[in-house]
Amino acid sequence: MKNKEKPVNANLPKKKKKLNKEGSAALFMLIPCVLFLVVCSIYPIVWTFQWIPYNYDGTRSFYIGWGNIETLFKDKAFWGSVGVTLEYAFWKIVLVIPFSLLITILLQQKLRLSNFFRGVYFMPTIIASAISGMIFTFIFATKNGILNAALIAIGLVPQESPIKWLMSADWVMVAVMTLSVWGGFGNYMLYFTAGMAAIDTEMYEAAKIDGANGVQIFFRITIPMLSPTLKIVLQLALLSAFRDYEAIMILSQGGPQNRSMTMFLYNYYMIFGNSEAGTSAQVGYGAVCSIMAAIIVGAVTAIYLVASRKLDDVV
Amino acid sequence: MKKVLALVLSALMIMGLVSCGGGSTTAAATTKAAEATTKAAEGTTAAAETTAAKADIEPCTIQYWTGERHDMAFTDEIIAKFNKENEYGITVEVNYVTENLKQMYESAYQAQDAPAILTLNGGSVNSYATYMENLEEWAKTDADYWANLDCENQKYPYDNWDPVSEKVICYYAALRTNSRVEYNVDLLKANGVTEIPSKLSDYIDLAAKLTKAGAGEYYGIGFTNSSPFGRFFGACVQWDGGCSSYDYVNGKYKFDDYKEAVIEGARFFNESIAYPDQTGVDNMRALFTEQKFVLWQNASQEVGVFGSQFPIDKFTWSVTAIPSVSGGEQKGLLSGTCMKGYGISNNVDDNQKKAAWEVIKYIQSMDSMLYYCDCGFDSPFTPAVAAKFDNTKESVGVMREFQNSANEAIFPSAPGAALTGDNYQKVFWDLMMSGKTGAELEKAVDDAIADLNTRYNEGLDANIKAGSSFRVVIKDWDPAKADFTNIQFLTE
Repeated sequence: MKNKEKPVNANLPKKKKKLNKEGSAALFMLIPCVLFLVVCSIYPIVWTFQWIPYNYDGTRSFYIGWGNIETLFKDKAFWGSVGVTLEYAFWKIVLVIPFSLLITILLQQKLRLSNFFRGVYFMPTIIASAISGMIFTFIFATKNGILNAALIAIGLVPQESPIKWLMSADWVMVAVMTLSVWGGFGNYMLYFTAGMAAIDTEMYEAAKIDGANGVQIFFRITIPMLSPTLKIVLQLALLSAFRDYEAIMILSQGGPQNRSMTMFLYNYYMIFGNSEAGTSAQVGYGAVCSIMAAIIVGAVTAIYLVASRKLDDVV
Repeated sequence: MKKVLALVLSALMIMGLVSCGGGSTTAAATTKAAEATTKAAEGTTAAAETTAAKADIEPCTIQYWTGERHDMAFTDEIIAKFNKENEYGITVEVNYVTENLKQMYESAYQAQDAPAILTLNGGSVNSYATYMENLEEWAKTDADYWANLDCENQKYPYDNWDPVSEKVICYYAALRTNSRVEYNVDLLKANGVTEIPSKLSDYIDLAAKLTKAGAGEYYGIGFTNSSPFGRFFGACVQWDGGCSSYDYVNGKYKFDDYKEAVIEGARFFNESIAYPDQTGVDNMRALFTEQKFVLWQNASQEVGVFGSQFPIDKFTWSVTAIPSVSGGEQKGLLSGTCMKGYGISNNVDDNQKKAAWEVIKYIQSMDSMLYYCDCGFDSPFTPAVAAKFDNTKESVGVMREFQNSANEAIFPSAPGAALTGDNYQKVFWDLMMSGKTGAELEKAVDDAIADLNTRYNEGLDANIKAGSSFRVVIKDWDPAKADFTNIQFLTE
């Protein structure tokens, strides 16, 4: 009996020891990631919070209590930028999701050069947004711009009055949205490609045998089967739309008349100053704006998540 | 085996991180030690410090950062000469940081890697006072420097002297004029124009005429997207003796005097007179050199720019006074900008500070300052240099035209205001481009001025309350004299 019990007792501590070893190895391997998280995310967040009650220009700080928070609620430019961001996000999602889905489906048809075009369409994603902003500045230039030249050549725009893509409050959003869709759709196209690869081809074959046409197949099979991917893509597009600012900063600097001033671009100008406009940094106030921006993005994301769950229930 | 490898790699990564951190700690400790040494040395006379500095400088390499590109030829030449001639074995490495200089400098300063020398221009003292040595202490040790740079009198609030810390962070050697009209002589002649109008509305008419004549090949006038309002309309208002932003007599921000200029200026866009794109200042300069527009407005740095960066060799260009809103006699001086100041970062080691001081003395020696002005880069700033400067020299070139009107003065910088929303230059520029006309535009301008007066003065009050600014008051301020002997710094 004792001989039988002995190995059991002996195994218990051995098993525990093995778990500890695995746990400590995992912990050890997590340390670099945790360190990066602390240094690159948690510390900046804490750093941001500390400046809320200060008037801080990057060099000297002065305590002003609630001053920055009171200012936020009176700052028309900030709330204007929130409006622009909501509009920008709306149009980005409305345009980029159907467009990338359409391109994905076209490339799924296994036409000639499909893989080549997939690479071409993905290319904007790997171009730095500052560079793409610069490229589109040349495209959208009123005088000698590539787009206006093309429109004039085909007679859509009269030579004497080219479109002021970046100089007119009526047109700048079109320019910004074009850049945004161009820069984003390749990425979402890849997500959709991965999502569609997971759909069982037998379902399509069965549908075809049952006499379903292309539109029916798309709405009855592709879209429902893609819904998990679609949900993720929508969420990513929403978040990225709220955070976009680098390319816009290069393309239009948020102008004219703040028509393309997104929330994060405004925050950037507050925290780092805007040398073009001759304004200096207001780190304390910028910190308050950033926190409000985070709250707005969080609220929109929460609303989206609740809505998408309700939709799941309905579907 | 894989686990062992993973553990070894993780350990290496952590060691890498720790060693990176350790480097900073060492640097911080070194700086603290240097600061402690500096503090311990306080109390000794400045003269003794300099005598010691002259004897004690170890051979070293120091960094010098500048945001000035227009006079790159001068900087390269003078630094190369210093590197060759100096007896201490000091090597100066120049770094041209023409984009985001302040951010780059701050990052370097925080990382204990600031350049020993930084070029400073007027108005920058607020941003840099914390980082800089009090140059007055160094200047007192050298009689020549003190006299040539007029250090006794060169104490401009917010320009080189910080009223909060009471530090002088640099002394300036050159004056950048306010804006002038720069024009393409050939294209004007081709259109039968012999004179640039002195009244803003007539000036706009001229630009309209030139745009029409250009028929898309060239335009009458061009504007950059980089502070376009300040490069032109500020001077128009000052010329008429108007209050440009800050009312010194009452110690308040006031924007009412811009109204007429903004309403007139809207014509540039409502009538499609201006070149249709506004891009970075260098892009617009390149377009001017390519004769894409005839009239361009900027300050005296353009002489250097059009001499070397974007050389104008296809046509003749010249310079004249900016038009005023009224077109009448000049009633106010224009605010020039003091230039070519050099600050010493206060967190470099003592040897580097001494080396930096030697470099500054060399760059701001009488010979160097005269040479700078002779090359036509800017006008002399101090009486000693002005007395020796001969502006009839051929090398002065177009700069002579900038110097023609003796109407510049250094205005006391307006105190800082914790501003929210857009600054006045952007607000006015946006209004001009808004497409509004007539009564609608006038009402929008009135509303904007009221809003700016409120926001700026609230921002000023907030700064005064926080202790970061003073209310600057000059009861006897006269824009035609710009004398601020009786300047007051109030805390209410």
